[in-house]
Amino acid sequence: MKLNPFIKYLIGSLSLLVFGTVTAQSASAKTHYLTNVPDYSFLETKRTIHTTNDYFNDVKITIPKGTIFQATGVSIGVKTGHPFLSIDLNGLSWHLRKIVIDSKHDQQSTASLWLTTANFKRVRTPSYLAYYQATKRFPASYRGTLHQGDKYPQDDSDVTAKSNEVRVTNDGYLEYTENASVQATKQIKPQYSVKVQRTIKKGNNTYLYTASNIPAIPSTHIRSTGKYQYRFKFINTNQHLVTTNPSMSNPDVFGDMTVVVRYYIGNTQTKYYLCTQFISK
Amino acid sequence: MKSTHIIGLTITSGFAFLLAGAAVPAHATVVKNSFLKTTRTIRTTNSKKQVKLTIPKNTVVQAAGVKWSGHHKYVYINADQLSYHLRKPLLSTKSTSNFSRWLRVSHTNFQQIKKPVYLSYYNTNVHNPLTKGTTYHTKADLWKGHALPVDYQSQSGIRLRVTTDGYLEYFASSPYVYETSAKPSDTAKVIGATYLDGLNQDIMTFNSSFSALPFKKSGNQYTLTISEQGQWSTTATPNEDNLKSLNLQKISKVEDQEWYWRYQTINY
Repeated sequence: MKLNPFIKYLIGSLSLLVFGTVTAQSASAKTHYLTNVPDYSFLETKRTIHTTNDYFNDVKITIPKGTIFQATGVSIGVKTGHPFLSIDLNGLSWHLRKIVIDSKHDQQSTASLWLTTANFKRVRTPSYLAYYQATKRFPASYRGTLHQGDKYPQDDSDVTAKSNEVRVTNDGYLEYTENASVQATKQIKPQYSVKVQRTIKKGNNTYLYTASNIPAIPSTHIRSTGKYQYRFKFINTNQHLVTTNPSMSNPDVFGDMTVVVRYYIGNTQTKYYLCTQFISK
Repeated sequence: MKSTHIIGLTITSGFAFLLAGAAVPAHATVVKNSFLKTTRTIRTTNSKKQVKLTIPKNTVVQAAGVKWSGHHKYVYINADQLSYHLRKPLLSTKSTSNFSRWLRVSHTNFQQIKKPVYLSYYNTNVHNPLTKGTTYHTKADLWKGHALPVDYQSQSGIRLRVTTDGYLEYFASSPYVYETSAKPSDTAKVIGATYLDGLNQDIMTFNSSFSALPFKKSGNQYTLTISEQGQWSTTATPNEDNLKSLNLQKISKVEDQEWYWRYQTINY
């Protein structure tokens, strides 16, 4: 029986409608990825991230919603073209990195995570990191850490050198660690880890406000109650110092250099240094 | 009938468009730090029109800057990079600029050439990304010694260099910071050069020599070899514990003598 062309048209349009709805549903489920995440920029988790440690995959890592971390080593998937990275837990506060520091493997990065808009969003450089140039390219292990001492130790001794360290983690905790290895990337357990409630930057001085104290470093007790009880002052002197390490093959020529900036904490004479530049041949 | 006319029209117009599109502007690849050779004598002045500059035909120059104006590309050169008899007008007290005026890049003025082999002993172009406070140097000067003295801004040293137009110049005493190169103590024209990539050696040949540099005699000719050592020296100014600037130098050997080339300056 020859089909009426009008009926043919009806069937055609109906099937189009059905297909149309099917495609519409899959369009709403499509994953969107962050575009343009520069290295050393900051991201915040929009949901709790459940992942594992990289390579070994035997430690469960949980990164809560609202955690700010620094994007380093952003890569693009070869097959899909989508961006991904691993989060270096050394940049986060003790209560988040504890699980990998205490694990039997020397691995503090998460497995690769796709940078989806559902999981992450770009944020401005947090104010509690204003005491140093957080977006400047520099080896991750030295990021934002104030080492107690004159300047970076000379070659041969930098492997064993230890110092007291003060830093604010990417997720906003002021930590003090006694006798930490200057060179190590693995951030061991600090003596103190307190949340920074507020930051005020005035010229070269950065003021950090916390609810609890870190007795090991100078602070001003300003209130007895509330979130802003203690104030820590980081003074950036802008004085640069360089440690030159000779080349291993020829001691008369230079192999590499580390440039640091001198800081003081509070109005004391105890010197601290922050690594800002590593120059090698 | 009408349709074929239309087709014919579109084909011819398309063809014409193709031809027009295929016309490549002259010297499209001339950029900053490119090398050019003059195809005629260029009579110009310095950029401030204070002194006359004459650049003879077949002189090798380096483009210090490039611009487009109208449908033409222009370059200017740093005349201090030329041999003494060409840069002499810059030494007059009237001159306060080493740069030439804009010169049109066209076949009548220049032909583009590859970087001359005799200039292979140093970096004539910078490939590093621009960083605030960091300068990458591209000067031809080699200084005798191991590292830049801390008080170099008020000091003089022993300098040598090869001009873009192929003259080896030796300065027995030249300030580290100078405006225009003075008359060299000795000079010799490069007649040939070879670059040995694996050894990083620039071997230059001359018809004459002078005692100040360790030339090697080879038949009726003389050679001078500059070898990059793959080593650096550094100078922290004013001192390592109060850094205002950091200077990095690449160490080279002129035969057996230690000389250095200023590579980078980082200011704090």
